Amino acid sequence: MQHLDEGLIHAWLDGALSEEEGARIEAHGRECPECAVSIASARGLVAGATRIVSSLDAVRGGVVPEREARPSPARRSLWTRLHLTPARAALAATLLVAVSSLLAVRHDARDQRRFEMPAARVNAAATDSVVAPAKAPAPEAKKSVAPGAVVDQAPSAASAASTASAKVSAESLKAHDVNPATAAPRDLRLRAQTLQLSEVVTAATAAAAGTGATGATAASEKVALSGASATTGLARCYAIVPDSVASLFRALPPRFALDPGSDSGAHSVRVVTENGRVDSILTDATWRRTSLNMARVDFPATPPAHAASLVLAAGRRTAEASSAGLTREVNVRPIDCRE
Amino acid sequence: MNDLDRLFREYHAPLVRYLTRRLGDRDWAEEVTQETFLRAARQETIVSERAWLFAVATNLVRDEARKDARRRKHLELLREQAKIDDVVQPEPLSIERAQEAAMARKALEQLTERDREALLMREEGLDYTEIASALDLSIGSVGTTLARARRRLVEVYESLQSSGSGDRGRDAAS
Repeated sequence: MQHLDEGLIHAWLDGALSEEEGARIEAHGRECPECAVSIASARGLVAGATRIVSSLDAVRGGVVPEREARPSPARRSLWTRLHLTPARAALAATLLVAVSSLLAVRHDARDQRRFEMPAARVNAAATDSVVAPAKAPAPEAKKSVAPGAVVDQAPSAASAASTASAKVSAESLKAHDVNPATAAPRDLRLRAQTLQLSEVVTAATAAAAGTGATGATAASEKVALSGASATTGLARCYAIVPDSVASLFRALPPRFALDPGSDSGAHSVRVVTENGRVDSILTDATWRRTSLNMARVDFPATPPAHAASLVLAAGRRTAEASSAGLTREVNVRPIDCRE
Repeated sequence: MNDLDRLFREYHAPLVRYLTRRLGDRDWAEEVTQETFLRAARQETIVSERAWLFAVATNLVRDEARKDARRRKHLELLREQAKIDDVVQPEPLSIERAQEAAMARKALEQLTERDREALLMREEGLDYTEIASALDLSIGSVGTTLARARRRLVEVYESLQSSGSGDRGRDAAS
């Protein structure tokens, strides 16, 4: 059987063929898997080209400008505004407590070389929550540390056990513009308070990864992300970048949230609205952890689309999508959600 | 309402959009659109209006539009009266969208002239017969032309996107 010509498929999708010709192509597409892929690919190209061409215009036809569609800053939650994920907050809280405790103790007991001090640890379940603001991580004193210049502190929750405990040294902090060894304690405390959360997170995760905190800014997001993923796993919100590859997988929703659950078994997947709100459960879609930082998400078939699965790795911007024997890397973006 | 007025009302917006996308310059696009209508005014009979207008506009882009001050003034007046606001309105773009537009422009420039014109005409809703007539192609080759144009456009755009995504990631992290 001869495969369908690409030009003919485009003509069909553009409505340029007669009914009989169209029916013939449709029937052929049902019988020939390769042609079905060609048709899906052509659909993607048609949609992709239209999107690209319309992006040439200052205002896209029929599309509300993005900034109007977004909730106003006043209505956005603190979580959204600070780009906080539970994991980042957990790490930030951990490190802030550690740093400020360290500074306070250094100030009050300057001559003492070594001492005990409490640090914070955050409930793993809470950090794993997709709809987290209400379940904000509650710090809980857990582990004592003995810093002369070293804070031996596990910055993460249970799942990070393998990442090893972090040594947030005075040196690594210094790289992030906090130098407890030389600056005046009062000043330091202030600086610790005003320190950007992302820097704190980066410092913590960079230290945890044993890379030191001197890495370029370029790496900071990646580091922060992988640090966060090590602690929280994958239960969070994602958006599929709507490019031509993604359009091959019609079962994939544009945005979705992985409902948190325990470390094994299948969990539900939720719809995420355009403005980042976690919505109803996506019927029959499930996800399960396949390793510490990987998950497989199964999306059901919504005819005429084929069912699709997505293999996500925490901190990665691509995921492996499979459907009807076709496997491609799709671009996935972790997004911040709200209830 | 005379014929020129009707043509203007019906096709001014799509022609300006087509030409703005094609040329990347709104003023130039307006100029060529006006020239197109001037030609239409001189034409006694036009069989397939839309295909004819797009063909003339396309040829004018190729040949460089010539000017006709008197008629242009009349058309400008018409445009004011019609208050056509459903075409591309210049407005400040966000950085992200400006980047998208720049990549789209670059990608479009990678297409051959004929592929680009066929695609932009299709995006304005011209059917295969109209595109074939405007570009002097056989109807049978329009599908192939569009398939090639779309594939190339998407591929180039995506390669530009992936080569730029590293920078964007850095921005997002800071």
